[in-house]
Amino acid sequence: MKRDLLLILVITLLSSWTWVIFSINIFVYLALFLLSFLTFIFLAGHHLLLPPKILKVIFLVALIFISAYSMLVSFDRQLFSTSKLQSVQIKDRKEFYASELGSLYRNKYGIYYFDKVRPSVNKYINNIAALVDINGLFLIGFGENQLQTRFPIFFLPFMVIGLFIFLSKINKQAILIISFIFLTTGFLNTENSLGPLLIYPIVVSSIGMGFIKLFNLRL
Amino acid sequence: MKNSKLLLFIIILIAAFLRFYNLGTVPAGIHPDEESHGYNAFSLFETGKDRYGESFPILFRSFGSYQPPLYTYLAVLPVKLMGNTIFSIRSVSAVAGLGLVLITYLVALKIFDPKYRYQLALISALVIAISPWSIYFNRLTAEGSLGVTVFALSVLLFILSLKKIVYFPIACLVLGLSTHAYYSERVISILFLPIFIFVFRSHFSKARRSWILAGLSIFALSMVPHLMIASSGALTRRLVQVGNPSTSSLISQFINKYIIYFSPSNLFFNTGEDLGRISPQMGVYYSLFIIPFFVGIRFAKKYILPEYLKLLIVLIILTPVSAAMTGDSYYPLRALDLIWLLSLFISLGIFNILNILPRKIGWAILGIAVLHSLFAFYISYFVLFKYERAANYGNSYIVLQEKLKDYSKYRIIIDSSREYGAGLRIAYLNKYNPLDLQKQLKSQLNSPYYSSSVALLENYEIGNIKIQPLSWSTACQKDTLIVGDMISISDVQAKEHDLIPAFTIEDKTGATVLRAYLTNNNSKSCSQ
Repeated sequence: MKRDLLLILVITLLSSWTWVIFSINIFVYLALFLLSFLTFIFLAGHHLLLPPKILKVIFLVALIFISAYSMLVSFDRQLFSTSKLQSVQIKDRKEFYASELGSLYRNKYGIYYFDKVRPSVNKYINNIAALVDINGLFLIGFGENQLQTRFPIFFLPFMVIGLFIFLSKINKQAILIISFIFLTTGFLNTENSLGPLLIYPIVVSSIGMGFIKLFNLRL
Repeated sequence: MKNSKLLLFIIILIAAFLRFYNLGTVPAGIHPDEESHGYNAFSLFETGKDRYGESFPILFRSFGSYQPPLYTYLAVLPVKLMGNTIFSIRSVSAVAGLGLVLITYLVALKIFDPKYRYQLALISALVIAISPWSIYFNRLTAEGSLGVTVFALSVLLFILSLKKIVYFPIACLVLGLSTHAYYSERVISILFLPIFIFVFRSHFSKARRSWILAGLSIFALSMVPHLMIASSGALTRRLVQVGNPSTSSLISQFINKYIIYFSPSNLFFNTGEDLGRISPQMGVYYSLFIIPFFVGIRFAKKYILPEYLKLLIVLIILTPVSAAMTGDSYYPLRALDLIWLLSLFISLGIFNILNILPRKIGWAILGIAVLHSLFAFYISYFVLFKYERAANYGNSYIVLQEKLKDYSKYRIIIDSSREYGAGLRIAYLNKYNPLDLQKQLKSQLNSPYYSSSVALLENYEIGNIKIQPLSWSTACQKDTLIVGDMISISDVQAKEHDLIPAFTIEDKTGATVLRAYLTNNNSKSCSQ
């Protein structure tokens, strides 16, 4: 268990994203570390001194804490409103919809759906994209100076291997948690320094698993 | 499986409808690359030469670069049969798309667990039939569309060759042909063939070596046309055009761009508005497909036969290489082979999801997901894309053609400074005599036909219409209609030259794109 802890710790410390999170809120980092560690334990099939039910409760509490924090700090205020540029675009598109869709658009529900609902849904879906954006996690700089990537690129092969292991071990509970992560992230502005915070534990634990698998380590 | 052929037929019908419906009007207009293929096909049939007078070119010189030849040669028949229309030139791509649906079905029949192969094959065909990337590029005159189909056919033949060696030389021939279809396949094919032979060397016993040698010889022969022009600079002209602009840290740039093609955010979510990407608000695949994609990866080892899984992994590693060599950050058209391969995993995922869920619920969810996705695509492509991207396809010049019919007695000058395809567009749609156009364009060649230096802008004279960069000294004559955009004929210039407004042309968004003026015969400032 000590070595599991150390591995996860090293991975988090080598990530620039961790330091940004740490500087914003240390408790958020601790919760993310806990989630990463517990996810890793699950993947590695290791056992801790605490019973599984307690671990699950701890996991859920940490997850809810992170989600609530993200919603408070990073809620996408543009989700249900439109910027000036978007308003111009919506206005232009009214004519296109009217020409092509006819009465399907030109009614109360059609106009509401295309002018209000669809733009919000598209933004929601685009927010989710950040969870699976390899560019954003490993290739593109983030934060104020845009110089560092969230994770160093040499972690990527480990993450890929770890992800395969993650997928092979996935169960119903994991699917529920991942669904929760995706659905929640849709409401968040992921372009700030915190980014798609909820994917952090999955990425870190996958990197850890990939490391173990690649070097055939036994912990 | 019962009725599998009937179901496949229905899937192909769906694919055909999605590809041929309003093919001549969406995209609205015709892109310069499209009219280039179209006119060359027309010219080839009429004269045996392209628009520059070159006999049966190995590569077609076009607008600052070269176009791979296979599409143009295949376009000769539809252009001849259906005339010089937008539909006829795009039909090659659309038919290639239908071919890919069928090939995918056949590939899936081979690679998946025999117990479930028919279901998986049908789902795979359906995924290709309705995927945004497939419909989008099949509705364009896109060489990549043809390239991926020919490449996929070679993959099918290579798979067959593992059981019957006689397919190997045929596979090599088709693989060689794919290098004449699109640029990406040139690189992928050369990498793939030796790796395939090496990875599957246990299949190729001594007794089969003569077939291997025959195949390699055929592939080498198919490369001869490339080698004939290799030293001219024409073969690599496109790579020079689109390659990485900075030579520093080429390796890290290559790695970064390579990885980008695997990012699920680019595969399943909005890729942005650039021309080489998909229609507005649409990803390469529907966003919902991300779920079966990961499920498919999860079950790949269980349902894909081990030797074919090995083949898929090799192909997945190789296919983004050529796209990663270019300077663009994400350009799906250059990675269609990879995108096609990933559809097999999506299909596998859909199959597993249907198996996990109760039967009726599973099919109901699939039905709703498909209908919702197609509706989203309809809005994205047939509504938003049609209007918002019409400018990229020179739609205003199609409208201009109709207007010009009223000015047949005038001398007409159309400014082509920012629309290099304007002249050829008019030539193609009006079936301008290829012999006359060959004389015009050949006289403007400032380098050998195959060269690293290829001009983008050319002047055209089609009847009473001159299409060239606008020069006021030559444009200002009596009885002349001058057509240009807002930059070429500003309000100040119109006033300065005492021009008389004739008409304006708006694009599909309602913005004025072209303005036409008549010279004032009574004015001294613009008549001679």
